[in-house]
Amino acid sequence: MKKFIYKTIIFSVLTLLFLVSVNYWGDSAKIFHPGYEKKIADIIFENQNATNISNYDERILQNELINRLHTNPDILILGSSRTMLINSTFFVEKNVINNSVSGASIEDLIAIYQIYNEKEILPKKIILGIDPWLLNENNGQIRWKSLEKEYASFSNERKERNKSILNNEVKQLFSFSYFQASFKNLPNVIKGKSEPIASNEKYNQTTTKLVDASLSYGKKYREFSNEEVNNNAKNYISGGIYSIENFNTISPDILQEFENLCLSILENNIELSFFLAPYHPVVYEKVVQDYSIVLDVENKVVKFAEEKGIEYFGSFSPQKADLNNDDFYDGMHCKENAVKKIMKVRTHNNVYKSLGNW
Amino acid sequence: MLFNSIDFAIFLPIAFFLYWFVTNKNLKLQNLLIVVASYTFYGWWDWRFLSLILFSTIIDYSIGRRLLNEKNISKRKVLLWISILVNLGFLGFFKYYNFFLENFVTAFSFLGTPINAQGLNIILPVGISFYTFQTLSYTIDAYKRKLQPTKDFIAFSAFVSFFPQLVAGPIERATNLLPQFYKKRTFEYDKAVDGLRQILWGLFKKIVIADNSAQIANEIFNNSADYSGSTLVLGALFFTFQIYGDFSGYSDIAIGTSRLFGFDLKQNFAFPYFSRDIAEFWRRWHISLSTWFRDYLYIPLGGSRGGTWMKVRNTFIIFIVSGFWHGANWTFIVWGALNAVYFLPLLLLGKNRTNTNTVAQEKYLPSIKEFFQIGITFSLTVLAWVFFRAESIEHALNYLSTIFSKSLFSFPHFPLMKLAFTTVIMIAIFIVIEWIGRNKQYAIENTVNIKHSYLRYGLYLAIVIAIMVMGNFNENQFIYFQF
Repeated sequence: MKKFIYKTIIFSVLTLLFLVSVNYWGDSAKIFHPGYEKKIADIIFENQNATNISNYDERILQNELINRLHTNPDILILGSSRTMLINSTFFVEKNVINNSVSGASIEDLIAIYQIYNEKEILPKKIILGIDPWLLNENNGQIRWKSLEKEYASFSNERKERNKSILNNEVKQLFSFSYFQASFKNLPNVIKGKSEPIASNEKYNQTTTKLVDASLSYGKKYREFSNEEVNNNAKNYISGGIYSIENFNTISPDILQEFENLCLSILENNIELSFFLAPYHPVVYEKVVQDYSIVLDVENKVVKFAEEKGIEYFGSFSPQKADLNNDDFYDGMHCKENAVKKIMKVRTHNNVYKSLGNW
Repeated sequence: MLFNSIDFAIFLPIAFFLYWFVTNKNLKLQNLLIVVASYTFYGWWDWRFLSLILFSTIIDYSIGRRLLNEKNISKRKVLLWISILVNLGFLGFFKYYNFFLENFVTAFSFLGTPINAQGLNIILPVGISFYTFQTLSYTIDAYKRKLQPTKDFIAFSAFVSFFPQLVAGPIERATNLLPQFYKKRTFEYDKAVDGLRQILWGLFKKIVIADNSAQIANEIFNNSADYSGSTLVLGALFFTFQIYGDFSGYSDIAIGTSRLFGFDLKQNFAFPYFSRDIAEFWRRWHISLSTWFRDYLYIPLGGSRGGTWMKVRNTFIIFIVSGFWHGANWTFIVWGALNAVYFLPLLLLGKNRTNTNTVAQEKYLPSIKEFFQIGITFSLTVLAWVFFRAESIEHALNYLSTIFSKSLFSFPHFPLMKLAFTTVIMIAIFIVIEWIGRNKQYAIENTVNIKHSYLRYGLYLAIVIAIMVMGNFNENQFIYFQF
């Protein structure tokens, strides 16, 4: 028995050690090597674009960026990856900052708004990205926890949703899924190629954070053929659809939070607009068929906007937004020109306005 | 609780420790621990399921006790039928109620007398088909006096709910498993190590082979109308490996876990995809279910002793019932019937027991004849799996008609090509390992004979790393839970 237990323990410990080591050193999301976000912020405030960036904590980056601001923005973009392409060239001579974060949930929107509020640099206008999963209590989003303190200070209460006895770091240290990402990242770490790089180019090989904190996709993404885009869209719906798979009812609590956020914005005399990014036609067809609650979300938000006199752009429906398959990169991200079309941007040839030059 | 979950990774060592270090001095206590652990394991899904398994246990235990002293044949028959009706009643209600209702409604509408009937929102208790058959085997064997009914309620409860095989088999016979609860178990190093080895191989099959194949098979089957015949062939092939990796992987983990606790379960899969004919396939696939149907249905119906008509009838009955056991859908029934059609020529020509040994025994490779035999059997199996996986008969027929169209000769294309490529490599390695170990209980059993311990442990480590790097860690359900 002793021999069995010793051998099993040794084998298990070695396996766990391997798992933990790869997760720690490969660290694909830079959880155990903080400071990555600071390096991106440094580049942006030196009026350069930051490229070769991946898997960092976008919430922490927003905190870094906002904390370096000393002036009120003219326009603040809040939302998910679906609003990341909105940038300063859409507007004439405005100080624009895009604080969108991937998979934004209501907690993210509130937390980032609250950072501005506490710093007393509230913007003149906010463009709020509305995503279908925003009112879904089971959207599975936990990334907002990086801004938990900021979120809690808005509503003065701590949220128990998605609670876990383990913190994110411990979970990821022992996560097999994280292992796979970190294992892939290991060669970059060994070769020292995992650091962000400053660039003057808008379009680079990999994803680039631009000087106004908006986003430019990497070469591969930008150059997807129509067939690849359609495949991406099909792939997107092949399993459960991102963050709306378990969406059965609109959460009254989240709806209340959403309305509170909007009312707070309006009470602070900030002009508010909603931006509803469309789905790819293939995805939208599936949404209509199997996730009709998404249509309820749109109706609710539009009704609320009309009641409060809030301007809104777009729709989850590509037909309503007058977009077709060519306007997309994948199942849920439309191209910059499509975003411009939805927002009725008439100005062209504007240059990017860097956060460092406000 | 899923075998491929963190919950189980924590549960198993705790149960193991309590079993061998705390309750090891007292057999009753050890059995009680198995009951508590099994109920915890099962209740992890939904504690309401526990009432059902407890009720089943009490009924069959009580009937067993009555059968022990009952001499009157009529009364014994009544007792047997009570057990059969209660067990099959539960199974029928939870699994088949809505199916029958839907079909009655359709049939009445077809006859011009539409009726309005509402289906019930019934949750199917996990593994109900497995433990129902296990408890039924106990009562039937007790009735036939093949088994002395037990007086030990705890041992019987442990037999019914034994967590390693509770939700997806192997379906153990009371004659094999129950007596193991009466005897004191002593820890055997070799047996425990063998158990761990089999668990490791089961995890590889499930997490690497089945779950990656599942992702591709789901994509192709769910969007089959969009794809060419060649892509649909790939979809069917990936499903073929998904279902094998998933189900035999579960059996490996179940058997391995049982060995850690000192129990021996029967082999459930014996490398079925290396079969040379369909009869051999069915002797090697889900052995515990096939033999259950053989012993408790086919033989009582007369087996193959009667004339040709009886052989045909019994073959169809056993295969169709087996298909229906898998699920309340016409697709499973057609799958069963199709296998009966495959099997019948062999039976009628008296060739159903031609290939009873291991293929290419003591050789590295099969002969050309064996190779073609395996290829044909495998192809027939893949074809039948299309019905098993399809959402409806119409879906299956459309799927097959696309396969047998001109587009069969186009280059396959679908969104998960990269994953498909790496999965094919893993499947190829998997087939080679399975081939090498085909005369054993499970493929890597042979590794115990590798004398150099560094090499042996290196191999285990390689499997662990393959699971970690190539595995799909979404804690996917095992397919057979739904049955």
